[in-house]
Amino acid sequence: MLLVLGNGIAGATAARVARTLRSDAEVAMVSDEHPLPYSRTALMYVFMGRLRAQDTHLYDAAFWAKNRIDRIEGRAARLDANARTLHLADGRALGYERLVLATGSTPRRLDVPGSDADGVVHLYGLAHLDDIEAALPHANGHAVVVGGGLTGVELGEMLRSRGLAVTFLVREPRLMPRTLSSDESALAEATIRRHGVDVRTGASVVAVETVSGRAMGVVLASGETIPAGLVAVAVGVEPNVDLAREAGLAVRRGVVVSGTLETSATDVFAAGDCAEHASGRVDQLWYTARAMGATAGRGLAGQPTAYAPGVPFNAAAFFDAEWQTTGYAPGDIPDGWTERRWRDDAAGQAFRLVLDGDGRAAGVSSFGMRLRHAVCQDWVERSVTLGEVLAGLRRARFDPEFHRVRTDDIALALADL
Amino acid sequence: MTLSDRLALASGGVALATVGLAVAGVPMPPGLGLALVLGGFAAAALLVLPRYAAQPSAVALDGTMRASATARGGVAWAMALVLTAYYAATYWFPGRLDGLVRLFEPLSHALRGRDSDVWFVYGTFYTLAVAAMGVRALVKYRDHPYHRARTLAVMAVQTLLAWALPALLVRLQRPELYFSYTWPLDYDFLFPSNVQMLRDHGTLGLFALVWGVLLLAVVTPMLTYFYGKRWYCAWVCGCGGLAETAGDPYRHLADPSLRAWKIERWTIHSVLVLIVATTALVWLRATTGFGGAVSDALARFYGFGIGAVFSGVVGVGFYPLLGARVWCRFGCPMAAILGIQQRFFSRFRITVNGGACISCGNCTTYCEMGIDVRHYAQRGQNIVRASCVGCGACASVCPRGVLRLENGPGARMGERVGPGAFVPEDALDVLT
Ligand SMILES: Cc1cc2nc3c(=O)[nH]c(=O)nc-3n(C[C@H](O)[C@H](O)[C@H](O)COP(=O)(O)OP(=O)(O)OC[C@H]3O[C@@H](n4cnc5c(N)ncnc54)[C@H](O)[C@@H]3O)c2cc1C
Ligand code: SF4
Ligand code: SF4
Repeated sequence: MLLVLGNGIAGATAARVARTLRSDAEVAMVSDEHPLPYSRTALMYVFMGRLRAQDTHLYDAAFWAKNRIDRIEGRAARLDANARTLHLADGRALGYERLVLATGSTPRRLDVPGSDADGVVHLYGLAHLDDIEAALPHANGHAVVVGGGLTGVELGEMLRSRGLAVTFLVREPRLMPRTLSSDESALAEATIRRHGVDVRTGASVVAVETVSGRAMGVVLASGETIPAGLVAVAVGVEPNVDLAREAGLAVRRGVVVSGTLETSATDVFAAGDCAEHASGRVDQLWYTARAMGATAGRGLAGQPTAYAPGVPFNAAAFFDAEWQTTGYAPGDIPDGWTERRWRDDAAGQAFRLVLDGDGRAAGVSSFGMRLRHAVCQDWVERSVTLGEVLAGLRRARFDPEFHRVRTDDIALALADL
Repeated sequence: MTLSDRLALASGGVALATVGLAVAGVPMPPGLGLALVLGGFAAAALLVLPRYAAQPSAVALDGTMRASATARGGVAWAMALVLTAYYAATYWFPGRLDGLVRLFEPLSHALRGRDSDVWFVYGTFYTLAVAAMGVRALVKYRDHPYHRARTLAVMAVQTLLAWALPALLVRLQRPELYFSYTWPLDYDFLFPSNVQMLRDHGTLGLFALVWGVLLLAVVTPMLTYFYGKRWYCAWVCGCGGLAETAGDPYRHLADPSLRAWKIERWTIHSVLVLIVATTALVWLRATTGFGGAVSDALARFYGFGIGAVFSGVVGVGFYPLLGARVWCRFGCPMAAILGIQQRFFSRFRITVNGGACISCGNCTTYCEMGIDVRHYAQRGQNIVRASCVGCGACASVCPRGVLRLENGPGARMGERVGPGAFVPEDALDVLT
């Protein structure tokens, strides 16, 4: 049997790819969370009443049945890599030919006094939506969100949609400084504020105030107390590695994998949030989990392939403002590199092209507009010059028809520099 | 519920109560009654505007799956009941609506110079729904120029071409002509009786006939080649116009399952075959006198079963339960023709932006045609589907900017666009 532990996007993709390559083999996914793979990224929309839980399923049950991918519900308790057996908590033992570990991650807890009080909530799975729902009536109309990442922004949007006053506590001096340019941070912050969220940058939490075990607010390093009956924590996630570690696999922060995503145990692969590359990098994105899942799926089918995700990209939304990036465009660029920026505050839009030491395109990012992925990827892959990017900018337009066209403005502004 | 929500309910209630009293035969001054009915409904549609204005998110969908009116709750059932009852009365028990018809006398006389009837009442309600709910859509989609443009287009076509102009023609003692429709949606347009009627009406009649044929044989294939069926279904057609305005809150009620798609392909093409056969037989009878009983029966069945029950009672009456495009998706023969052209001879497609899809399901859920958009998007495949009316909703509800309606060359079903490594190739498919 070709077995996958975890049915998140990494596990589901691995199973699909393995089935494509091996029509004869038995393929199964094990999960303790939900019988059908669903989109974690859509949790916020379920909470906000835009989607029903079943709308987030990647495929319906018939898809998995038709493609003969078994869905096993249960919690894996122990892995015996020598005997090629996965033991479930309910006593079942699943023998496998090859195994993919796609166990995902768990939200990090806030490491301060009071962080286990009632009313302190996290967001990772469907069960967390129930927690938040249950905490709403005790919130007294005010919530704080701790953690300045994308999940924090999503929590802010979710809580605003229920009419709560939201204070968004960001430890960094600006929003996501490693990922966003200062222009993008500023526009993102303005968008979040416009939606009624009180954004506090440079604010670190030292304690959760509690009264008889229930959160009443948070205390900042500055000594200020912010009253809130609901404290939503989004300070990152940690890979789920217990099972792999107990089985004797090489584990650092994540399950260590080779270039073909093989773990230290024979015929055991790892993919997604739980995997750590040889370089020490742990990717915790939907896109990387999907790409790793595809590679691990090939390995699962007996055709190990090098993990080569190509030009990286990412996309996110800050309420109704979209941000996207292709290639390497970090918040602060390396020494010797340059960047060309365009920004229109009134329209809430920004564009940035990062050029490496040789003046060649290394990355692109944009805020408040949609760019055509294939075109941006092509610029980065071919390391084109600024001139080439500007000349081809029109081809990158991906905003809906009738939208104000900005590519000519951008080309003009950046060419003048 | 906010104050404006309550006021909206109250005005809708006043309008409905007035209709009820009129139908029950309670005498009232027509002017006042009419003002209460039209004003009440318009106010009910427009008083929700503050809610949209207050929701900064440009597509304002929060709570859709919880609200009774949009989540098949009691309110939705009540609305469906009222709507179907109204349709049934208009078609089969027009006498029951006498009191309501009388309320419309002042308007009918002012506009058409003749007495009101159930169809004038119906047309006026229809136009009011498109106009008032159109304004609502304009506010809701205020940050979405594509939606604004197509909403303005259907509002203009409905009020001018499908309401004011026919009324004006009636006033001028000319035939009541609708230039925005042709056969086979206007199913008896090509029937011998109608062709004869048009030919009896001089230049105007002849113009209408020629226009109707041109619309079907030349305009439709050309525009569909360049822009897809949306030029008609989301920009011109009155059924589409109502769906895009009054039906906008019900987009998510379309069933995206594979089963529904299979049923859809059977039913919509059956209706097309039926109307082609009926039209042919009616002509056969008119020219040869042959097959009278069959063609009569077919024509009567089409008029009752398809024209009235399917497109009217079910198509519109069930808006709050099944979504607004039931007729367009499962029945409309015009949509079937446009769909075949779109699927095989059109530059229109929805382009998927690389591997950016996060499989959230917003597009599939809010596609009013029940297209499983996500299925393609998450596999990095462009979308070329016969039923897509090009409403653009999928593109605007997508939180990652994955979808774009385009009129590009080289549209092919299933064409892959994603960077291969990020969007795994696989042969697994259930959509066939
Ligand atoms: C709210 C939220 C929003 C996000 N938004 C984005 C976004 O917009 N863009 C983006 O790129 N990324 C986003 N992410 C991150 C992205 O969702 C994750 O990186 C991705 O889902 C990880 O997928 P995975 O398959 O590796 O793990 P998971 O999705 O975590 O799947 C692992 C599964 O394995 C199961 N499992 C684990 N251990 C066991 C066991 N012992 N027995 C049985 N089952 C087990 C778990 O229950 C889980 O179902 C978001 C994450 C969250 C929480
Ligand atoms: S696929 Fe998109 S554009 Fe086409 S009908 Fe569905 S929502 Fe509208
Ligand atoms: S709405 Fe966008 S991100 Fe979500 S499933 Fe559809 S295409 Fe993918």
